Amino acid sequence: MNESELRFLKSVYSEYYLKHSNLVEVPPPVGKREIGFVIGNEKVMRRHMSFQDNEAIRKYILNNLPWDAFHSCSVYEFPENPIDKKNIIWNEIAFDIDAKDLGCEGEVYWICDRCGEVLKKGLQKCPRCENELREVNFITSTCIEKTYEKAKELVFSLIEDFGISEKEIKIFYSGHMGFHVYVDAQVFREISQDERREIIDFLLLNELQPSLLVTFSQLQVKNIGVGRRVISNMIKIIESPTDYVFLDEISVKKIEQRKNELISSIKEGSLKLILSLLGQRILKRIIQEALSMSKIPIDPSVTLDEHRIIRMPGTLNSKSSFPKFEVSLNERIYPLDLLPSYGEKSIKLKIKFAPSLKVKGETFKKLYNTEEEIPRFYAAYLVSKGVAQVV
Amino acid sequence: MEFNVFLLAKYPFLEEAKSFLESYSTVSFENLSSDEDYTRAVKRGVERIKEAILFKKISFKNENLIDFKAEILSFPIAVAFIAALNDDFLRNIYATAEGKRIHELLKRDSYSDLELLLRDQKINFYPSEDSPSSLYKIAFSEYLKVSPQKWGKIWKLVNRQIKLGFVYVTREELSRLVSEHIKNRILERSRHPIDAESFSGPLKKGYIELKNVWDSYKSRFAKFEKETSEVSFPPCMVRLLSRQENGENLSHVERRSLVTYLIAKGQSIEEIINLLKSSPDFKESIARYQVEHLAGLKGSKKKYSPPSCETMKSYGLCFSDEWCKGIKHPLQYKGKPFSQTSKN
Repeated sequence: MNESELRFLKSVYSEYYLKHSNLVEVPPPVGKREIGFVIGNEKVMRRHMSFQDNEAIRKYILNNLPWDAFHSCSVYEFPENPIDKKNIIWNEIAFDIDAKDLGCEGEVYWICDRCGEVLKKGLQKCPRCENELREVNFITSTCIEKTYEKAKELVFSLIEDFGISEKEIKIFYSGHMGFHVYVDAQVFREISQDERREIIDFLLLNELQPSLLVTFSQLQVKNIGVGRRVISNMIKIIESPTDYVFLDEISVKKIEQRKNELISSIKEGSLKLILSLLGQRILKRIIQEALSMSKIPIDPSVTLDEHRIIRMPGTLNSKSSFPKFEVSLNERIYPLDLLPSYGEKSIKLKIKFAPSLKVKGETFKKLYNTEEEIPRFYAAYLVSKGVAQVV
Repeated sequence: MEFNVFLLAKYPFLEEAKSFLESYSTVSFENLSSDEDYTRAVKRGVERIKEAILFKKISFKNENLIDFKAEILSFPIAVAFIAALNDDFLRNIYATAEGKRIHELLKRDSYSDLELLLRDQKINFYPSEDSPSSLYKIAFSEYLKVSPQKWGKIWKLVNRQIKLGFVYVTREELSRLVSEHIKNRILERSRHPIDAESFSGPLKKGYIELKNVWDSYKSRFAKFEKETSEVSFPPCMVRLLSRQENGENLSHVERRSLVTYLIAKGQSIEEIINLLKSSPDFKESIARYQVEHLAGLKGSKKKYSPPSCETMKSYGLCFSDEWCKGIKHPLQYKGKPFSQTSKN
């Protein structure tokens, strides 16, 4: 990235923070948390900082325009000390779900920075000029929506399985291709790493013994714990059978004919009707699929590490120049439509490549080797991805 | 105050046992050495620990009920011995044996004392209303605190019935949980430092006897430690190895990871069995079958590989250091280059 692109990004960051610094919000007690920033053109990470309150953090951000900003999930006696001398007072717990962990890589392209060649297929070198190719993962609305659904499933599990109150859970769009679920509940404050690992395994279905959930002899699924997730995913399959390639035409037809009956029997945990209607082979495939859908693919390292620092709500994410912000659990919304307003004026960019993306209710079209006037907030996204230059 | 002395003899860790001992201690500290009850209690305290070391369990006979005072007093004495001997390996062996004894007693008496023990240990339990196969439910945080997942997959949270923050358990399971909880409390209690120099009379004699028994038991493990050069072991395996050597009860996944790694590194079955003997729940026939199974000598005859770095990460067992960079498997770990090792 050259000087003019850095200057442009800084101006967008400045505009965003001047307008929305009030969105920057570290959970209390602010003064007892470790704060970290990525600053300067060299993008150096500075950790082990502490600030008295959110106002002091906002002031620092406005003065320094960091590329990224983080706060600790733990509350320390001495947040500015090295890790082994911070003394944890209590821990809060964060879960990170990234589109990649759902097998959703976004739209992946290989771009040649020398000749501008854009390839959909991964090659080592550019076929035109032999230059090394750079992999770029673009955000796609499908990935965002899928990941958002998983984040909601996680929240639902925290409420239904772990008894956490909805008030104690916050769900954030990370600013790139993921969601953070942040929990401050008394019950999670004092759990050890081993206990965190159990919660991680519960969500990732590590070491799950399906025979303890599904008893074929009694044709029953236990509607509790992981079983509850399995039942709800079996219902999803029955609701839209055509979405699942393993279901042949005859099975789909049978499901469509008795859909409501099937759903109510599965809701009760009974497999009798589904077995008599579809047979053992299809039943097993449905259970297998429902089991794999029941996995909530959190990043274990984020949840396990009690010294982890997590992106600060309300700050921009340098991977996209979009902000991390809180989203609602209940609304049926597309998170990127909720991006706060900034950078609406247009700027002319020389674009190597940009796939189509829906942001703030507008669908930005696919662009290839062109010069175009686009809003500054979206221009910042393309510049951050290294696929556009300021003209 | 009236005491149910038979109950206290069975469960000498109960809060009530403290009041009993206070009300009963009419002998002054100076005259303790000559008090017969006390001498018998020290003897039984020594026996408790010797049984734990040699048989991995502590007996409970009906005659213990007759000599209830010595039985009750022998428990704090045994804990004091363990604290003075100050060895994590022994601490684990003793606490596990006491835990086993409690579980067996609960089972023998058809769990009639279970609710009393739960209340004494301040474990909140509730009758289960909505799960027909379970009698009780307990908060998931309390369930996790006693780390029952170490006992096998069935205890892992992922395989449990959990709803609105409660895990559903049967009476038998709850009895194992409370035994494990008491075991953990004994571990904690035995960590309070006690200077063996302060012992005199029967206590001193008992301490010396136990030290000799313990030293000779421990020397059996020294051989393995010497032969295992930890320099080339990755930090994940060093941690598992050291926890195993300290007599910790590794979880199934942890033990399997360590054993498959040791097999791949060329350790013999005998060497590995010898190492596993430090497990508080060690049973040679089972351990031997499992190790031989993992080595491809039994069952499916498939030799199991140790987990990759990615799998170790997903288990939360990866604790990488700077020499882990670029490796994908613990077996690829080369450790600190020899030149750097020798400089230190």
